[in-house]
Amino acid sequence: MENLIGLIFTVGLIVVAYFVGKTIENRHFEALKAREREFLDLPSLTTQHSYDEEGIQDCRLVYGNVVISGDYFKMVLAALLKFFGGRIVGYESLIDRARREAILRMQAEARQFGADAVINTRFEMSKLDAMTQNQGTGMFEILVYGTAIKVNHG
Amino acid sequence: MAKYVPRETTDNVNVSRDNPLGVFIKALIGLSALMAITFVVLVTLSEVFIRFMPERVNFALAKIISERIDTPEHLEAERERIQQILNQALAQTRFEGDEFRLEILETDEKNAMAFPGRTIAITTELLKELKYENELVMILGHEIGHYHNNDHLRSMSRAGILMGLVGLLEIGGAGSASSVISGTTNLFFGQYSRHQETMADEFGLTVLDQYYGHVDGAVNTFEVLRQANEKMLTLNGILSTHPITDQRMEHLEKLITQMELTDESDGLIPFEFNPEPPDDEEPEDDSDDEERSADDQTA
Repeated sequence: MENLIGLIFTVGLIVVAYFVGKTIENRHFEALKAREREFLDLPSLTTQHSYDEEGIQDCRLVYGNVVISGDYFKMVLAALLKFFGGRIVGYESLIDRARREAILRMQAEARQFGADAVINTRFEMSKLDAMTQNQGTGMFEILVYGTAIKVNHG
Repeated sequence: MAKYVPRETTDNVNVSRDNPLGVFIKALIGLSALMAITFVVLVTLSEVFIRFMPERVNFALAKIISERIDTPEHLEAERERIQQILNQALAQTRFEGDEFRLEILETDEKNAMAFPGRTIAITTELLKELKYENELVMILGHEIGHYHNNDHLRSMSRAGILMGLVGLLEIGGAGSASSVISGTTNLFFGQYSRHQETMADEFGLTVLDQYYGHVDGAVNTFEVLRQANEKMLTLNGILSTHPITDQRMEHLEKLITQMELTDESDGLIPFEFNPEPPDDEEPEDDSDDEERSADDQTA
């Protein structure tokens, strides 16, 4: 009997987590699209040598980081899929949101600096659960950093 | 270097188009089915083992398990009295002459249990509820029925198998999903548990009839049990592994008619559970009683 009560409780949590998580995710994706449009004129490139030294007026390090965690639905889905292996569908959108959010934060910092572009953009990802000894919640940090440059327009 | 032309990306190739909910349902069904098949195979193997299990294994289990269940000292006199009733009930079955141990558990839960190793336990709360000896014999007969059908070993082996499978899920990395899987697997076998209870009810009825020559009080026993269960959980009817009390009572009434058993109320023998107070219980003075009584009224 306890198992059945537990099952109902767990399924209830999963359903609530799915719909709440889905709503939050959809809103975040919409917000990301809108903010990415604002930064279209500020390219973030992985290239290392785009400009001659003389063409650069100023430069500095810029970065953006995000800590993100999956909801209960994503966590259980990942646990189920891990048994069979393959693509962990629920976490793909999670990681995509985190990367894009981190890029936007880096671009916002670059914009404050008055940069024309960010070059040598790099991504780092670390699992924070390992630090807290918690293996279950799927908590990640994504760090995006690069060199913001101001170009001599004259 | 190529000229940078700002372009908005319209498609996201990094996120699968699969609906996560659909993937979840598919994975859940797949894994549950896999677990259920494994469970059925292992349960079938355990059934074969239980069927041909040598008697000495039963006694070995008795030693391990019964040592952990012990009647409190102050209830020993009552235990011996009920043990006599149990022995007489056993004499009506194929277990006549076999040694079964009765234990009284001091808990707030109203229940009776058949443990592996021929140990029947009954709780003090249930004993307090009983008004007639006939009800006690019906309950003991029900528990003997579990031994007759080897339900105690079956339940134990099923629980062990399920625990093992959940453990495998944990090792396989699907720990977060194990409660969902084990719960879903349990759903399939809840019906089987209810069938076991019905079979034990029927056996209890037969014991009662052979004990007294009539089945007075058989149906009423479930009224006592229902009161006990309903106080614990109102969702009992939906979730319990025991059949809904009314259904059990209806089934028993039907069986009494079919088997042409005698069911009057004049064959009831009064029963009262008279436990001695625990040795360490200090006598309470009157002022405490008065305070408590006042508290009870305000609660």
